[in-house]
Amino acid sequence: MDLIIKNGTIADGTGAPRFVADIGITNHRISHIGELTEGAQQGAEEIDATGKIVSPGFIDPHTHFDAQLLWDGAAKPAIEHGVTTIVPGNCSLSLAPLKAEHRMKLVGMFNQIEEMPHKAFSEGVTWDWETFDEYITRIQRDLTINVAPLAGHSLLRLWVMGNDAMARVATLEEINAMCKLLEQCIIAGATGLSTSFVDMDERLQPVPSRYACTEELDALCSVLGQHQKILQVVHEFYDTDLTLARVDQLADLSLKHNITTTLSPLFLNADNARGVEQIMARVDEQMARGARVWPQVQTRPIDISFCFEVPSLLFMRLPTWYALMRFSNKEQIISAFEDPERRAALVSEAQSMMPLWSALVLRRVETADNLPLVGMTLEAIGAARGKNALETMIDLSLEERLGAHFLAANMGHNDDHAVGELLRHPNVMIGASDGGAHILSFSTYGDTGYLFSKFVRDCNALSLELAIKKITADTANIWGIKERGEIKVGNIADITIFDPANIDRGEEHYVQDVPGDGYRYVRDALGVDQVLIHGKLAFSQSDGYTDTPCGQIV
Amino acid sequence: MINPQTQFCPATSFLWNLPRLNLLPNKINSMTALISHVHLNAAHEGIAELIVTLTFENGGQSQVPLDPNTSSILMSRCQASDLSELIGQDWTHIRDALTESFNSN
Repeated sequence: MDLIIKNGTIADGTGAPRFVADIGITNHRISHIGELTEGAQQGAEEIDATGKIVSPGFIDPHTHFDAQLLWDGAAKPAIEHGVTTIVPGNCSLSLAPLKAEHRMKLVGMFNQIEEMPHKAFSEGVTWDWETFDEYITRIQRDLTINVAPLAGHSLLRLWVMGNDAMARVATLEEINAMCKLLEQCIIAGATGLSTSFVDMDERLQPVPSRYACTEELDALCSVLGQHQKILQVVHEFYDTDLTLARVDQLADLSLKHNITTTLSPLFLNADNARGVEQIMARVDEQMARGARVWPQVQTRPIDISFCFEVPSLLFMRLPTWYALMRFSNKEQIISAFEDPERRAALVSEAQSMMPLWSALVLRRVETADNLPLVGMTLEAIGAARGKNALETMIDLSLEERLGAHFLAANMGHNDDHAVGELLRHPNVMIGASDGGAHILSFSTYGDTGYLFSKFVRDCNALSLELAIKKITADTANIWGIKERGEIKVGNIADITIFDPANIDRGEEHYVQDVPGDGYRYVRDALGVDQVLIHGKLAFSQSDGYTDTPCGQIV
Repeated sequence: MINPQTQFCPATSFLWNLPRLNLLPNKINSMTALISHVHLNAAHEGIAELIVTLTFENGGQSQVPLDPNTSSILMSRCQASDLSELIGQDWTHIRDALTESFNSN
């Protein structure tokens, strides 16, 4: 036996009640569960998990870590949040198969859609692959986290059709070529196909997958069916009727080709609650028919961030403010707020929205002087300055020459009771985190911690066992990830050990760890003690990342 | 049954409890749809977006999300200085705003 986890409280991923036992790990696999004899323990490393939950490693089914994996085989900070397997390549965008002549096109698309800076590619990426197989070989060099990669539909079209991929439907010959190419990707390790019905590229034109006819998607799903692989789509999530149509379309594809399909995201806001009811009713109906259509729901609420330099619709109710921000340049905006008379008029107009200003959090500044204030509410900063939140917001914006960024937290997907019900629904997959994307706007990490802190501890919407099941065994079963997602003898030892009373996502902050001196918003993990991947310690709270290359393509 | 939240925090409460811009016009011309409701929403990319509700002559409704640029163009096209002035406007303004926004990129 190589390693023993002693005296932990095991929630095995099946949803069954937790129990206290030891776990023995031999040759990367769980070899024993129960009380271990002294003889059996001899020579083995030991982790004391007394008082902690021992769970299967969490699986994040919707990420865009494709680029980050090229310079960071751990996809930080995913592992420290307890995630042991990620699925990159969503929404029609993977980084292979990709001919050299299309590399900059992909860089542009990743910049536009996932906010990955151009410089991160130019300084962090050596382009030494074209095929999917070569990309897999490339990322496997120092992989710490498990990866179940999708092949992007937009990439297949680009490979086969070149620039025509963004202009027309494919010919029958081209569709057949895409099918052969998808098969090669699957043989090389692709876990399925991703497509998009909504995304725009760097020229604000539809991404290549959006030019596909239904026959093309049908043909590609036939290939998925032959190999029992999954179809992921990003659909028209902002429109109930279109979402209903996509559910039906995916159900038909699922039944015809015997495949699993998933669509993301599904949000629940005050204005679309009725729509979500209708969508879930349709999902339930299609699932009852035997189709496999899994909507993904994220745990975290949606925040809104803004600065004075870019007009935000938050100011649309203030005509003078909005006109100033929309039709003035930076110097003119600064000048308006510096003029005492104009400032007084603007302040007067905005007084009615004081509750909003007071709740805003200062999330980013340019100057060192104001750096200590980042993370504080405007009410708190104002109190220290002897001013109200509105005046403080204006002052900070002027001090930072409009480079002060503010966050209005929990503005959407924020009805904890309703979202909790949705997460608990047996036909909902917990996912849609977008991990690794939107890095310049907000943090997409820590959704699993938030699941436990908000929906298990605070709201009691899910039991601990059910929450773990939904992000481990359920996800593994849906995605066809074998031998993972459940703590049972014979399974691969991907294990997360955490404190159930404290597991959470930390405060959002930004770090400068993107190649090319780029920054991104992240959240640290709270309450996750150790994470094992493939039987090896990948992260511990005390010592950080081990950088052991234990990650697998799954 | 999923119930919409009415109040959670001061900021959220403020936005959702703004004076309801939900004034259905007395007459709806045939073969058209009019803007009957407008409110702000949090888009998944972390920005505010406008949700415009259209009401058709048969009472059916649909919602159209608009990004900040398209929203501004819509306001200009409707010569509206306040969101309430969008109520009762014809759906074609939205179509034209979307077209202008798309073509300007």
